Amino acid sequence: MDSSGLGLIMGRFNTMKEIGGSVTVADPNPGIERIMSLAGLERIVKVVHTSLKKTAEKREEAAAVMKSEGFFESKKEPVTRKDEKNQRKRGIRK
Amino acid sequence: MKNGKLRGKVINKMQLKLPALSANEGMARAAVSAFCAQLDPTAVELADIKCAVSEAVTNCIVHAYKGRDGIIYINVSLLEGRVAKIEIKDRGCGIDDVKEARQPLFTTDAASERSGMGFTVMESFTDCLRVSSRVGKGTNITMFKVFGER
Repeated sequence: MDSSGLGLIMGRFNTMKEIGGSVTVADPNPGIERIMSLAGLERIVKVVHTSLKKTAEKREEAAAVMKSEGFFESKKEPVTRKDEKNQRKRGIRK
Repeated sequence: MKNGKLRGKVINKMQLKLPALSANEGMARAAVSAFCAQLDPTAVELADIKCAVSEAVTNCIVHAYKGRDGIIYINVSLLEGRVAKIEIKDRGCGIDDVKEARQPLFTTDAASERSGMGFTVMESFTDCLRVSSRVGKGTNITMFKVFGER
């Protein structure tokens, strides 16, 4: 990782601050940790060390919660190219 | 940093000329670190070189050429006394105020998630960093890495 990765984490941190969430970095390798501490990032984001299995479990848990709260369901009907075409066709016919 | 050590005799050198494409960033860092490997550096020293090169090449692609076509010139010399001298040049837009650009967190492109840590990372991961630039002409950076005795 280089400073592009730092930029990414900082960007996500700002987004999450705006919408009232937080960012946690899980299991960074020593190289990533070094560059993060260089930028002082560990002061603004939480760094956790877990086993990979635990991380996967947590991710699934979070996904299940999000799903139960309807996070993945979009409210709008998806617009496909075919739909657009049909609409245009209908418009012409009218 | 003793400057005398940075003027040792050249043992070996290489040149690399690449178009400013982000696909070439990995190529540049791998090539430079593979070339430096003949000085038998530690894994951490090699990681430092990779990171510093990657920062410099990113700067050329993102800032100097701003995603447009251009050539990145990389020269690496191995000097006596276990020193690697890495020069990375571009003929891009150049930097108006080098001193300001080298400040940690300074970025001209805050909108697209740039950390502004490029020069800081290069400075921390090498032993000496020199930047010379002319607006409209391009930027020339030279980094020295002194490998520990083994």
